[in-house]
Amino acid sequence: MPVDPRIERLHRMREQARLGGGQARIDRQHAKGKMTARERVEKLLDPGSFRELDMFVTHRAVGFGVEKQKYLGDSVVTGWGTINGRLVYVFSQDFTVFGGSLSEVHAEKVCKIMDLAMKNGAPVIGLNDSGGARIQEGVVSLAGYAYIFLRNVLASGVIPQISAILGPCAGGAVYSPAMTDFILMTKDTSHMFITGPEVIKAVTREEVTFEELGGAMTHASKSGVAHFAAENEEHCLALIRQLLSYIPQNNLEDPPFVPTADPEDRMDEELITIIPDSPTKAYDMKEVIRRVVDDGQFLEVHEHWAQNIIVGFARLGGFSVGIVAQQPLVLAGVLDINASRKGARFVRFCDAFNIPLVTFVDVPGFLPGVDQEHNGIILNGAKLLWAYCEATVPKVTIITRKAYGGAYDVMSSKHIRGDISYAWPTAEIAVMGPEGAVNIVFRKQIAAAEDPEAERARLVQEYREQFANPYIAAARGYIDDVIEPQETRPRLIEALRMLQNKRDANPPKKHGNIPL
Amino acid sequence: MALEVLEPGLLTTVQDLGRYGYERYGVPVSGAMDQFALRAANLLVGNPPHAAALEITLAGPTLRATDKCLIAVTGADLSLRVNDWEMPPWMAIFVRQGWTITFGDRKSGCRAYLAVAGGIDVMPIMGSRSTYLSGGFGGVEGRALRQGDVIPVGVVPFHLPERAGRSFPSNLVPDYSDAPEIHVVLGPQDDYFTDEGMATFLSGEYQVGPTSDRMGYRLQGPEIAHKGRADIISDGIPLGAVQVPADRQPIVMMADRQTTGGYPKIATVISADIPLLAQCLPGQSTVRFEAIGVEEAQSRYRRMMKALEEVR
Repeated sequence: MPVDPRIERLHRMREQARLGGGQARIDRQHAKGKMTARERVEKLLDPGSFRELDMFVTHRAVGFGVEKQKYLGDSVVTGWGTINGRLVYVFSQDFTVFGGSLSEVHAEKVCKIMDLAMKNGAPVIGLNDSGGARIQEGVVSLAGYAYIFLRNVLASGVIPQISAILGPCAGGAVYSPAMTDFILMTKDTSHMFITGPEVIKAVTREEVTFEELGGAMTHASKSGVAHFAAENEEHCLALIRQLLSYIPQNNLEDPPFVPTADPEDRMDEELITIIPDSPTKAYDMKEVIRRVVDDGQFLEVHEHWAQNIIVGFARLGGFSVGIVAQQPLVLAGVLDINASRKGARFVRFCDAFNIPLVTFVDVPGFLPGVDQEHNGIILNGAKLLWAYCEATVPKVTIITRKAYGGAYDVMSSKHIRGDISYAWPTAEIAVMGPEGAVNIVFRKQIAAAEDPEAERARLVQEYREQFANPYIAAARGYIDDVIEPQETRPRLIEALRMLQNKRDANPPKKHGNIPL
Repeated sequence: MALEVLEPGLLTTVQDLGRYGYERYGVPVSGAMDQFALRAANLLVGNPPHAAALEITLAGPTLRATDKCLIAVTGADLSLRVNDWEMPPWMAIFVRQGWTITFGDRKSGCRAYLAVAGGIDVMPIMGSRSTYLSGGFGGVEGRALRQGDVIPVGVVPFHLPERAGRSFPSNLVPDYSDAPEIHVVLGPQDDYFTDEGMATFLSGEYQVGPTSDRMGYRLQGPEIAHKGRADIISDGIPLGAVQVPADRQPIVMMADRQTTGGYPKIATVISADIPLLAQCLPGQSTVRFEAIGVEEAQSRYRRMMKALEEVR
């Protein structure tokens, strides 16, 4: 049967659009260890689910000879598809067309799917691989960025926004990902920075490589800009799929419930001995988390940054939960500037998207230091406190060991609307540790003693027996119950189920004034 | 970092620019058959020109990178695939940990060169990492690669993806023909042949015989007549020497040639054309010879070396 030439034309144009900037540029993309924009979308979404939009859009710029260089679809691939059967919107910048640079139409395409995502309440995933602004389009390109920025902000807290950085992302372009909920970067082939190594060298004379300045591990461990550092692009795209499995489609939905074969009443005897006898010895809180959650599955966020606090997603009895925990293995789990920022952002994300919070507390306090004070531990620590105060999702707390001072208040305490607080028998809830307290309260008595050291030891022991336990707090109802460590999982699941229909709200207001 | 050999291919050996300074002890030079391609591959991945690489013959190996690396494949086009992507030759390619490097159908040439940033880091023997197969030394235990070999690669001082995507200018990539015209400088024993013999050599078409190997290319074609006896007092054999033994069929001496020989040498293939000959396919390619002067040969060699500078 003869093919209708009009249909043939359509096929031809589709074929051409799929080639992006052409085979030579596709080869160069592959040579850099990178997939093409369309390959990434195919890998990210359920097979065959991608529906592309605006495949025939071309740029409208004139001058510098660009009017002769047009590529169907221009420098971004956009559309919708599904991940585990759930709707998502995707844009994927095409480095083979004008280096993925942002033109007027590129921005229009991105805005179109963001608007659709907002109206229909589904996540937006941005796959970034772009040299920056389309210089030939001048201020029109800058306007394009701004339209995207605005939408990022309007969408924040309404639909999840996820950014994968799979190539360059520099200058103003970084601010769109920066305002989304999660940033994932691939090792070796992605970088983010405001000004590159050359400009830095010219201005401050510092010499630094791309990777050191703005590579995946730099942002995942030093700046905290990246939530995940992926080994390669496949890993990165798989992480996005995994991440979305814990998150609802929008702020009006509950997160997905995933039934588990892991028994809800599973006891774990190992938890009884996990807390060392000495209060100064460390243990791995991640081990506690893995023993408690469904199937030992824990998706850690910000694994490499501010490791004194642990945040991430898991499930308990099938319910998606956000877990916040101290890590005694790193700086004794102390709260410092970065740990507070990391915790605060995670708590606020969970609260925005109806994900219950489970907090494991073993906190010796806030980190002392001139550097911490001068860099604003006051304001930064307040962010975490704020986030917990503000959160209206179910909040369940387990104090495993130390909960000292102001940090006790901060870590999801009953006093700031924590719903259920449990303590293990090993918990020590006090204004400070025995040594510190004794040194202050009994300073004179120790100094006057015949053997000050023996007196100090005696008083520390006395203080510990009297105050370093959960029962003073429990006597006041600040702790709802003291539970045995092995029953942590069933008790948490029961509490979460009890809180399933929790309704709580903040007073109506334009917005609060979080100490940023 | 290392390359794991999942499949060895037909004949894959470690080669560099050769083992010089030991011919007086009877140790052949060895080294890459197509040194232009080897140098180009090394340049693309940021190696010095003499770094060791893999010489791959016709049917390529399947390799797996144990860690990230930067590779370039030059010479014969054997349908390179990296991470299952079809990749063009003569390009620096960033390979991630666990990715495989495979080859497919031959599109041109006979020998491909796979260089890795950092160079193949086997133990040098007499100053070279080249494999000398007949002698059983150099490279990996003096032999071709085998399944299960793990080929060590040297350390690299730069961030690998920064060089990835660079390619050798396409206008400077040699055109490997299956019927090339090979230029020679006559002698040193051209006076051992009759005028007719000389004319036959320079006009006839010769097939590269099926038994041709890294040691020598046995050519089959019109017989070249000697004036008298077909032997001389043995002397040294340079690369590209065209010996004509008593059977009147020429043999071009290649990388693994013996150090001395007793057959008269009618001509010497110019250095600039050795790569073209090295890429001829035994049992299939045909060659013709054209004589040129020494100065012309030198200028062709300079032109070839200058092409390499363009990549730098």
